[in-house]
Amino acid sequence: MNASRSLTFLTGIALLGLGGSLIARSLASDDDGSGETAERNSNASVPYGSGTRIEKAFTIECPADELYAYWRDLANLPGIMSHLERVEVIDDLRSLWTAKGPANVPVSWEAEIIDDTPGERIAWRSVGGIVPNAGSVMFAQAPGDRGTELHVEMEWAPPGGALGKSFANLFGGDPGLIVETDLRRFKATMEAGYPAINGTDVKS
Amino acid sequence: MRAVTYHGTGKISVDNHPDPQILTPYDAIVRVTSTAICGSDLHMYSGYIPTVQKGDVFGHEFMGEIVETGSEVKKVAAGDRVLVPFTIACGNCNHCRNGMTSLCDNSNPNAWMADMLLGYTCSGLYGYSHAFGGYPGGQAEYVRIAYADANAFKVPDDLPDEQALFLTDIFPTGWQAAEQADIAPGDTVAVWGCGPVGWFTIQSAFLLGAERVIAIDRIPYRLERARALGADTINFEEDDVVETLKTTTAGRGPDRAIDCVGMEAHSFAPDNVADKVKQTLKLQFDRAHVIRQAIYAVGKGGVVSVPGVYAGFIDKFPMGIVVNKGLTIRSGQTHVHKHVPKLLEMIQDGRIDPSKVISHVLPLESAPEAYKMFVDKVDNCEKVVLKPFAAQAA
Ligand SMILES: NC(=O)c1ccc[n+]([C@@H]2O[C@H](COP(=O)([O-])OP(=O)(O)OC[C@H]3O[C@@H](n4cnc5c(N)ncnc54)[C@H](O)[C@@H]3O)[C@@H](O)[C@H]2O)c1
Ligand SMILES: [Zn+2]
Ligand SMILES: [Zn+2]
Repeated sequence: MNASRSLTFLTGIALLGLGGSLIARSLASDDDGSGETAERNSNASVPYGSGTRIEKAFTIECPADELYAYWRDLANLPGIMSHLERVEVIDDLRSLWTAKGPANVPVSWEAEIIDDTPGERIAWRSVGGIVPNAGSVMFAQAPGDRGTELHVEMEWAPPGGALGKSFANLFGGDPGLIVETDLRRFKATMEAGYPAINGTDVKS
Repeated sequence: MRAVTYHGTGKISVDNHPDPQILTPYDAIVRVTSTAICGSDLHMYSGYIPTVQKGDVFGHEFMGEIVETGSEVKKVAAGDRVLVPFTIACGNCNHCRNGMTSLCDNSNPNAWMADMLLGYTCSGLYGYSHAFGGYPGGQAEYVRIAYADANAFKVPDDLPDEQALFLTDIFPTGWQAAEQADIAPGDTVAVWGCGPVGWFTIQSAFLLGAERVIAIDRIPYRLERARALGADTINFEEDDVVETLKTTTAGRGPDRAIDCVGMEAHSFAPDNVADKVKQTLKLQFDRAHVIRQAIYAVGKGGVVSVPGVYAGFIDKFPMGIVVNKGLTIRSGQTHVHKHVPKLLEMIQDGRIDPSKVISHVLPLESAPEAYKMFVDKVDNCEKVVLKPFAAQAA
């Protein structure tokens, strides 16, 4: 909390706004005043105070390394997050993300990995694009042999430009519920092979 | 296919539905040979369970033959005769791994609804509202079952449907109700409700070493059936339940109290409970009457076990009694999977004959009459088994 607040003071923008943000923490980790942190911070995607942030967490019966490996291959992300159509990996740090977008008009942006701690954490942020956004995923051993805790944070700025009002956010619905549902399906897939389907809503 | 379909409070009919299909590689389709109506179905039928919708297919106690499996199903195959627990397990989440299958993390596709109602979702249930998954139920010719490897239990060839069917719910439910009451030798166990769940609970209590079981109901034929199992009985319309329990246990009160009635307790004239505590607790008789009475009537340091289903919030919960008498309350939808192997063995050993709970075997098409009979407790109705393919069999 303090780290991210003081960063805000320093530079006028915080990387990921709200206090306690894992992403902010990861970036602010060493020294709030250091030139390096401040410089990285000034490249932030989401201006402080203007973003929307969600945080969701699930415990999954699966080793952290396996979960990390799955997320680190960013091309897998559309299989987890329903708002994404595809992610093309450009190089080790850069990738091109395409979301489904409003009225099925795809929206693309470039993203870069800004933190990569094998088995523990991956963080990314957009570079340019109409919806500045950032996110992170953290993997931690759950207590008492309960598997791995998966903590996901995402933040995005209100969209500007042409798409304007028709584009409330990246997700096309209640982002908290969408991300939660996506992660729940991910958990079910890792644990049981496939997410539950009731059949009631499937038209035959 | 034909299936029992809900059309609003007190209204069901047998309608045509599309045949279920394999939707995930872990699914199987079961052709239902026997399916039963449960007291839990009556709560939906009577309109007390949230998120039940018109057009829903009821039924969570069913068995039959597997006719199709998804590509990832390894342990069962077409042609296998199986029974299917009403609580759906994924088999691999932390709760499933620890035997708590009714608390499965993964089997409820509408988890967000259950999260809203309960804080955290529990397992999906067949034919039991959208908050519990919206799975079409088993009072039908065919059912799609999810995570088939974790949920389809093969039934020994020589065990007839009538012996195996109740392993899907009410036998494990009665067993868990008694087991979680921590019955010790010498214990007196009071059981509210002599419906099918009470019937299995009474026997389970004896099997677990109860010295004495006192069963409470008002339906004469059900009290008679409880006595046939060796229980003493109290007709709550004739006798004061609390006073009778107190005197008959020489002032100790029953050591264990089990609520096999749930949210639709029959209401009746105010009795001692109300007389004694109404002033201080402002106790009212609504449909949570039984749980309140059980808490009041149970002896000090006792356990109150609640297999009876409650859906939401109840008023005037006597927490002061729980605290001061040092009570333990235990409840839950049944972790059916955990109990099936052991209880199956008990059936095969002849230690219990579940088929004796059946009062009626009818074709599926008779479901509307069967529900009416079961809800009105007429024609000595205890447990109805429906046969979807009765016509072909005859
Ligand atoms: N926990 C579980 O997993 C689980 C599983 C199956 C059923 N259930 C629940 O168990 C309960 C019983 O099911 P059932 O099939 O036996 O239902 P049922 O309706 O056949 O039986 C209920 C009995 O309770 C009696 N009763 C009503 N008011 C009473 C009172 N004040 N005192 C004593 N008895 C009273 C009724 O006369 C009836 O005989 C239901 O609530 C059902 O939903 C729970
Ligand atoms: Zn049932
Ligand atoms: Zn599970």
